[in-house]
Amino acid sequence: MNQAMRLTPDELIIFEIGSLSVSATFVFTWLLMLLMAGGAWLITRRLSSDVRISPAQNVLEIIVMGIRDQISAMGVKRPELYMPFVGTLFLFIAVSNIFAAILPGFQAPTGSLSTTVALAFAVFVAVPIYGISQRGLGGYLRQYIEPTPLMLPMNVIGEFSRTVALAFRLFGNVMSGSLIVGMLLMLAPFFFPVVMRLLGLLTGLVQAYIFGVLAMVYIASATRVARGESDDVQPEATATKAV
Amino acid sequence: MQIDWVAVVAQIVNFLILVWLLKRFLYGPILRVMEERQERISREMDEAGEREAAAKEEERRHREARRELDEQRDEMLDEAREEAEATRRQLVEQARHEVQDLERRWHESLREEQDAFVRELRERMGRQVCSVARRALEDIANQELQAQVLSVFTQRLRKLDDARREELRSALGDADRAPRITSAFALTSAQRNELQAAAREALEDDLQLSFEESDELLCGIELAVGGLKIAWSIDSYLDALEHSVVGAIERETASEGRERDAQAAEAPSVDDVMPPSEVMPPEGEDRE
Repeated sequence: MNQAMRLTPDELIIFEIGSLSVSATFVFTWLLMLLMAGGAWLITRRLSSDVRISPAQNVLEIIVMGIRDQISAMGVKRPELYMPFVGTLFLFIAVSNIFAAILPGFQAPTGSLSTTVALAFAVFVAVPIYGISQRGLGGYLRQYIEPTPLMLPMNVIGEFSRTVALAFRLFGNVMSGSLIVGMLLMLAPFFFPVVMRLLGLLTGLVQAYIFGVLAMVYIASATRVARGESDDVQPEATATKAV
Repeated sequence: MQIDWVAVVAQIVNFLILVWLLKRFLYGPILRVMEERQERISREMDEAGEREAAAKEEERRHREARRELDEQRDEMLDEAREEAEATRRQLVEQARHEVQDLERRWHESLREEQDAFVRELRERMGRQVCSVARRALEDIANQELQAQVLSVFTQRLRKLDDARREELRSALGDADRAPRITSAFALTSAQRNELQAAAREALEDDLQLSFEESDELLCGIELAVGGLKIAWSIDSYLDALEHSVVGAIERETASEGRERDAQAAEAPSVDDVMPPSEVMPPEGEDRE
């Protein structure tokens, strides 16, 4: 009951090292990191460039190709450049949410505001890094005074607000999912929690997709303006509207 | 619910570590392997294309070689056919020659047979005539016939023309033997004297004749002087008879030969010419 009503895994302290208290967020994050990196290592250490490949390699290839195709769909020229960052965002959130939905007792790190803020902050930093590396400092900064210098405050505010929205959207969705499950367990212990967990599986994946796509859209808009002034605003607007 | 900034920084670090790990163990290897596979496939496609081109080239060369072989075969067949045709013509020609040769030989043997037959006929007829004459002379007037023969011969001696007479005289000079009268019948002394007189009158006054008898002269008489002879005998009539008989037989044979040649010319084709071994002279009345 207590666990179910907890809003974030931050509040669950697993152990303490000296004055540092290690919450469930970190424990499950490390667990996920271990699982993902270890699994990837186990599979990719015996890769084959043959036409016949192992099923595990096939799955990994499908995932990697899917991510790359999605990034390409944003209209960037070299998807390999953005894939480690954007792909890891999507995979981390997706695996975390899936485990939370199918493993009882698993606390999704994405249900912690500190995790989502960290991820949003990473995007917030990555956008200018990618933008400057692709267009140069002047080219990147020029987008803040376009179409007119009058739009500068709006652009800066938008930069911050979309980062905050990114963090809270993910946190709110994951947290509300576990919260609803906890409340339903109290009201109707049978059947309904199962349906809600299924729903959580769906929303978890959708949230991972949204987070990844939005991150890519922000990066793409920062790197792509050189081709046309109007292009950088449009994908962001449509993607945000879709959410 | 406030934001724990230490936790945020820690999660950022965690996330960056995860990015590095996944880049190291997931994206990098997978992308590398896929690129390798793509290169390999495109390389294999290129190789397959090259092999296909080589196979097409090979196929083209095979076709070419096959066509040449076919042409050679046709040429050789044509040559063989021509050779066979030539050989056949040659063989037919040879067979025709052999047939003609056989025919010619057959004609020769036929002619020989004809000659033999004519000779035999002449002999038989001569004997027959002789025996008939002899029998007739014996039956009717033996002495008369001999006298008649003798008188004809004597007349002939006396009526010799000058050129013949000169010939006989020169032969008489050269001869080492006396002129001889040969007769088929015995001569009486009167007849001998008469002959002697006729000979002396015709040739020389002191001519001395010798006499002998011979059956070979068919009812005849002859005077031999050196290498020359004056004779009368049934032989001469038999010669005439022989000539007419032989002439009749030759005319008959010639007309039959023409008929055979005409039949050979009408033959439909050379293929129908019989092998030489089967060509035989027709047997039947021609040989009789």
